[in-house]
Amino acid sequence: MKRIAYLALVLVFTSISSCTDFLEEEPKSLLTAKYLETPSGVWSALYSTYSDLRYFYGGESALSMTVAGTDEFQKGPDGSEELNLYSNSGLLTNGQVSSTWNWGYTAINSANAVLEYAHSSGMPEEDADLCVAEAKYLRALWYFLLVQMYGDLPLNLEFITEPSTEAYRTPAAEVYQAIVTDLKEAIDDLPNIAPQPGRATAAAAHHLLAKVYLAKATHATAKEDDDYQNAFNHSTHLIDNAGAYGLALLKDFADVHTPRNEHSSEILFTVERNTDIVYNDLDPDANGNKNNRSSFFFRPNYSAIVKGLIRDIPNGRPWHRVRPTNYLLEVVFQNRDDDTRYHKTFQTVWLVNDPDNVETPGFVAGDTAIWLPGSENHPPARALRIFKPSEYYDNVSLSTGEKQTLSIYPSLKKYDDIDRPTVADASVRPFIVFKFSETYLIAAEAAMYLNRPGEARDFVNVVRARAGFNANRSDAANAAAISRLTSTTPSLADFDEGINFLLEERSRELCGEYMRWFDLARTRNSSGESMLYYRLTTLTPDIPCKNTIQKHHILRPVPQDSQIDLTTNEFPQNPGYGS
Amino acid sequence: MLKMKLLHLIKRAIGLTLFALLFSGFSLWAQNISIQGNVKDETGENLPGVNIFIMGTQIGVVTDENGNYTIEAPETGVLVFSFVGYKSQSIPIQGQNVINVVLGEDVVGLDEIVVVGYGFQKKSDITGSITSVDVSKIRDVPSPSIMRALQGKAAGLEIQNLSTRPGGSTQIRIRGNRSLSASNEPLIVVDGIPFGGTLNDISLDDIQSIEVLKDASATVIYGSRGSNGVIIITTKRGAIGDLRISYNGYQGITNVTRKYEVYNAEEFVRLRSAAGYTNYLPTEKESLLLGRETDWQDLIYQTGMSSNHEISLSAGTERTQYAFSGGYFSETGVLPEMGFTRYSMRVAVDQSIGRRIRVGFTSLNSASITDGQSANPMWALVSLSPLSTPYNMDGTVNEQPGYDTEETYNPLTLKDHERWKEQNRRYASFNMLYGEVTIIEGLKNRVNLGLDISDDKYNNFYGSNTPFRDGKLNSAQIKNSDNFSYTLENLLTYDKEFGMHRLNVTAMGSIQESTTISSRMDASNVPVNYLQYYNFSRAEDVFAPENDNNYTAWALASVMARVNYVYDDRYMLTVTGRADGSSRLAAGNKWHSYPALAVGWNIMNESFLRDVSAISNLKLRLGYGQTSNTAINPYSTLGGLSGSFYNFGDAGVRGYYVSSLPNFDLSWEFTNTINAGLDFGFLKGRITGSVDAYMQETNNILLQKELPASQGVPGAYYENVGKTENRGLELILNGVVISPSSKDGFAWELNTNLFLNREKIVELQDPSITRDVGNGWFVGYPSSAIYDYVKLGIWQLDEADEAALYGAKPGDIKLEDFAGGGVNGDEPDGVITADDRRVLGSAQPDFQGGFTSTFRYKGFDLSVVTYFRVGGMIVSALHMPTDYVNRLAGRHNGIKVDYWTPDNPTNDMPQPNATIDASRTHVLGYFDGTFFKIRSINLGYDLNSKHLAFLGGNSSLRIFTSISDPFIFFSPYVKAGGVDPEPNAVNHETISGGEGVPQRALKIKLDTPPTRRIVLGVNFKF
Repeated sequence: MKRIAYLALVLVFTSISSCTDFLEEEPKSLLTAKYLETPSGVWSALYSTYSDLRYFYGGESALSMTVAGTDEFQKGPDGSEELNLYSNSGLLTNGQVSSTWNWGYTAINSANAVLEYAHSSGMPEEDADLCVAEAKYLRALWYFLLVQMYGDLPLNLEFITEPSTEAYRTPAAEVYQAIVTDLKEAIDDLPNIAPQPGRATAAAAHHLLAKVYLAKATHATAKEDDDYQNAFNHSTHLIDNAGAYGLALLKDFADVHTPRNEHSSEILFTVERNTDIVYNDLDPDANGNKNNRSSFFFRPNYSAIVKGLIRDIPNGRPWHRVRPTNYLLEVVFQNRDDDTRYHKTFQTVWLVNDPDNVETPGFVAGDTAIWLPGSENHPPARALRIFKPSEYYDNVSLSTGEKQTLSIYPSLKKYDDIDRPTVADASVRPFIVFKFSETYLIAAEAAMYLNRPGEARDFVNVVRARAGFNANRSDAANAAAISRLTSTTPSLADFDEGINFLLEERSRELCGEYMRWFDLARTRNSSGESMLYYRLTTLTPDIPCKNTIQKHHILRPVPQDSQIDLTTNEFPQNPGYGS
Repeated sequence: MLKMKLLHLIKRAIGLTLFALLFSGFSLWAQNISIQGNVKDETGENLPGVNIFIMGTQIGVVTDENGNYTIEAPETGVLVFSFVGYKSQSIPIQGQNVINVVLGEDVVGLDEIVVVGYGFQKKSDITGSITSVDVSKIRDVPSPSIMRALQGKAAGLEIQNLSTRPGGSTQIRIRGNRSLSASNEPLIVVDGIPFGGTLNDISLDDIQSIEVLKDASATVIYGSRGSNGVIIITTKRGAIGDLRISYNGYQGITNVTRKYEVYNAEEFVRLRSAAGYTNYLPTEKESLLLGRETDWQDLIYQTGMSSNHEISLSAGTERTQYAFSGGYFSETGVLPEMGFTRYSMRVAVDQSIGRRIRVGFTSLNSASITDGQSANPMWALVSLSPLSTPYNMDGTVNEQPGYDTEETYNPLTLKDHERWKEQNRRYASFNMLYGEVTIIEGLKNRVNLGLDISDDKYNNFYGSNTPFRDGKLNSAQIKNSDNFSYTLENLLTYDKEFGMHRLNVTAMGSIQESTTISSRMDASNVPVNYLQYYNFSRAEDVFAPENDNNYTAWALASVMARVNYVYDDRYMLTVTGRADGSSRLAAGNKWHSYPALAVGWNIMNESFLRDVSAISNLKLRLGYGQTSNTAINPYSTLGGLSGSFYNFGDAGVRGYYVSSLPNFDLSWEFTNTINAGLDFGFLKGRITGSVDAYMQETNNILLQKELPASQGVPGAYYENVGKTENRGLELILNGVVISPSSKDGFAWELNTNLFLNREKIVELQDPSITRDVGNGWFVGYPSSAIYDYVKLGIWQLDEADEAALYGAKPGDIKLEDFAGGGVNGDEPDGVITADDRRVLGSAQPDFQGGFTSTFRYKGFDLSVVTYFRVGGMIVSALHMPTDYVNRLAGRHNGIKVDYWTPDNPTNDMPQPNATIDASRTHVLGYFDGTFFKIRSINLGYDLNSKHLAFLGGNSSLRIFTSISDPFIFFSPYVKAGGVDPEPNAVNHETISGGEGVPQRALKIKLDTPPTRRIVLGVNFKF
């Protein structure tokens, strides 16, 4: 009996004496902020800053914020109305409006962690310099996206380690100053040529800085007298030293956006993706906000139109969020012969890929299923269905006067992806953020505003000349086409005519590339009117948001739910957006 | 410093034990003598089955069929005679060899022994608010889990379903929600040891009693774990007597109570034309010509089967008592490949060693298999066009019935068990060992060791061509999680009666530690379906995802003391104190002490009431105490990083960002409770019951606060700020409506409970903040408040002009414009802005309860168990167009609603494809939550024991049949076309947009439909 009693006692004793750290926590599976103070932690914070760019480039929220509701693209059959049509309602809590804000600040905090710890982490000095330079480039890119969208905003330049529910809007001019400072400092330490695909380079920083100056030059409070000169300097620096940066325009516009060619000499910066599922969650329906779904958004629902066409990887997954405006198709891409870019930008032919289900006799795989000739009058052709422009989705049929309901229109093919594992998967292609042809257009715009129209015209014509090249044409025919194209470039002596022309040229070269809304919001006509408002209300054919666009739409609303509602001090909303 | 404090406390606890043991070594014991006798009731009938034990020990015997007994006991000891339904008697032996006893009937049950935290008490001595659930009654409702059986059975205990699947879980709330960010789940204690498993681990048949401790004076004994209330479950043990064998079994079928009502072919065509949708697929056009249509739900729902078998044996000698049982429960779902199976085994042994030592253990073991616990194919069932075809011409399954424009795959593919499998295999072992020494009479030292071990292996595989993947690469997952917890307690109890005084003192020291390790791997692109998740080396891509790879450990050290004092069976006093130290808090905040005080007054025993025969019981209870809530996740004070991966060309890189910030000042939430109760019994116990009123104030609320996004840290962080309050009223009323005139006469009993709780947030971050819209918290409202626009109806044709002012047109949702934001203040301003939102209501019902009505006649008994809620709001994600099943765009089918057209000027749902603002369509999903449910109707027949005499005197046989969830009445939601007003999910993950609906709201989403079960069973004992 006693023995058992003592046994119980021993039991109690042993279990207690073995637990001297009984109430201490050991977080064995958890990384805490301490990790960011180590060399590998600094790198990880830098990678995270890069990674957050995926929330923007290729995502749906940025599509809605930069592509939809512009003069290039309008609401497609499954597009949202709020952003395409500038409907104010519900915008304040719209997840697409808040995504850039939310993830932008997360990325900025990671960049700040790099800046905070790189030099104290014990990593080699040259690594620390590089990390800091890349972090500054990325922080500048994020602040540039944010300040263009939202205007005055909290400017965090320090790594945040303590929670606070206070936040204040810093004037945009200060934000622009910070961006310029970051980029200038980044340029000094960034390599000319990326050590790995997708890493920041001095070239990308010059290009971005030139863009920043262009935007700053028209900003009511941020602008300074030398903005255009600085934009000119940084863009022409790249053009003049292209070789040193490994830059060159490709011969054929068609190759610029060809799959697997995302790291060509024309490309300055990409947001990376690949097929490795560990580093790329490809399921667009599960965790879609970080996916590159750009290959879905521009596609009409081609497979619902005729039997004989089914969804496949080359033709892609049709989410038809946006479709080209009639203005883009009919005015901007009016010239489709000398200028080869219409056919290199849009898919207009779909071939039979499901021959077993074709109902029309005689059609086999590879025959034309759908053809969009692009004009009301077209030569006869053998196809299961032919759609004239008036028969595109939502257009009014010329014969019946009714609105067309079939989801069909020219499909932007810049984002086509043949390497996706299944039709349903998101794109595995890197997203092209900056390309060298835009550098010429930036230089042209800066030169024009510096009253150097001749130089401006020369820069534009570099781009236009390339657009005249058709690999299937003879050299002589190409030369003739190029000559016709470049000679029709206006003089750019008149700012109003010039900026409208340059904006059109940007569409031809850059349409659908997640920058149109910024371009419209930053440019102005001679009476100081924002081109966003001016063009959307005056262009013909009409832009669908003609009646809903308002002047205050040059800024997006600050997210109500993730920012204003959570801030304990007064955090004013942008004008025109209610509370 | 802290460690020293802890060690000091624990050493002190050990010191007590040591002292007790030493003391026991020197004490002397009286001689044992043999005693025999007979027990009769007041009418002179012999009473078989009466428990007789030696006071202060658990040594005891049971009377035989003739009411006779024999026992060996110390000549100076006291024998206690007890039998359910009779008043216990304590008789000093004083050297007698024959003791005959007549037990008086106890209509009130006041001498019932009730399990309280760390001990037992006579019901009449209890000062706290404790509800005992009569387990024999809940066993009337054949149910896979205890909690389902308890629904509507106990006042103050709110149990809501979280799932309609086999093996699904429940949400338990005792007296409402106190916490806003932390858990509100009560502590569950099994056989004295905190239970970390799921209640599905325990077979209903193994449970002896359930006690629900509600107020702080009862729960303070659990200190930092007590503030959400405590449920104490006691499992069956052996008793002295011959071998008893019992078998409980039933067999049942389960069917879908009601399908989701969707548009049939004709209605679907009408919807499409109303929506202006003309994109008919070729097959759909064909169907229209042929008059062909498909009811997808009919194709897939099946009849589920359930069966339960449990056999148990128990026996005991004076020194050794044991009980063991084996059980099997299985239920298959109404959808293919869904089901729940449990194998359980329980052993309980009690052994006396010498006269003063008793040891024993309980071991509860189960293996359970849940199939299809989260896979949800309902979207395919509800959204596929009724004009599409399930089969190809050759009779094979048409995999993509929407041709290829609808990605949704045919739900019939679910019937192919190679294409998908989702299974959780759980092994749980819950063990309690104890050793008890009686040091001197009344003074006992007991050591409890609890070992709680569980292991979950979760796997899934979803084939490419199923509605789960819709053509994407197949995916597989392996997730393992094991938990090891132990509890070590050292308890000292002292019971003493002297004169009019009765004293019970309990002191305890305890430590607990729990470690959970979980790991998860995902795979995709498995080359052939049959490999499923069985060989990850064959999958193309295998990786460890961000979630579910965790090591989590926590520890708790406690010391506690409690004194119960009763004077003259009239005045009761309970004083309790406990101190807890927890690993979860940062250094300096780890320890806290909890006090409680309660008093009781047995008015019935006062001389002025003693002769009032109409009153059989009248007791007043009053208690105050403080408890807290440990539900801070371990490591919450530390902050953390999340992964954000990237690649540069072919090189993958791993990025990490700060996803939550640390807070070293984190502490518990403390809940102060005042409870006042009155127990009563009238008319010789024909009417009994109790009323309790309480007020709980929870301070230092843990707020999981999201920071403004500009802080750059997306994860919320925890803070101790704010206050909530719960006030409530609980009524239990049991009555014998018709008392049987004879043993076989007609009897009608009614057990009713009715309760209400008023929960509100009293204070947020600081007193100046009255609302936190981002988190959905509003001062003065419950945490489940719904804050949204006010739907007035639908804009009608004659309101076109007014609608146009709001940018709307007839057929759009008409919202109330009552506030103008900055400019107009609270005046309508002609624009619907975020300021036009207000608190519309909350999930909190006005009151709720249940009643059980039991009729008996001869051997038959019929019981009807009901459950009702009145008021409160339910959130039907189904009706919110953001969840797609009520999109009204014509592209998909959806749940059938009364939508507006120029010819149907309803105010219910908007015009199909109307230009409605998606972020404001949540308003379509709020309904009145009132309902009255018949939980079960049960009919049983007890075979007259005479017919079973050949099996021995104590044999019994009962045959029963039962139907669960047969009817729902008075539910506005069901009237509006809803399927079931009880929620099937929590948190708003699947509600996109996020506006309006609080995170904690229970909601009804598209999930497997509710079911109705009919069983036939038998209980057999011999």
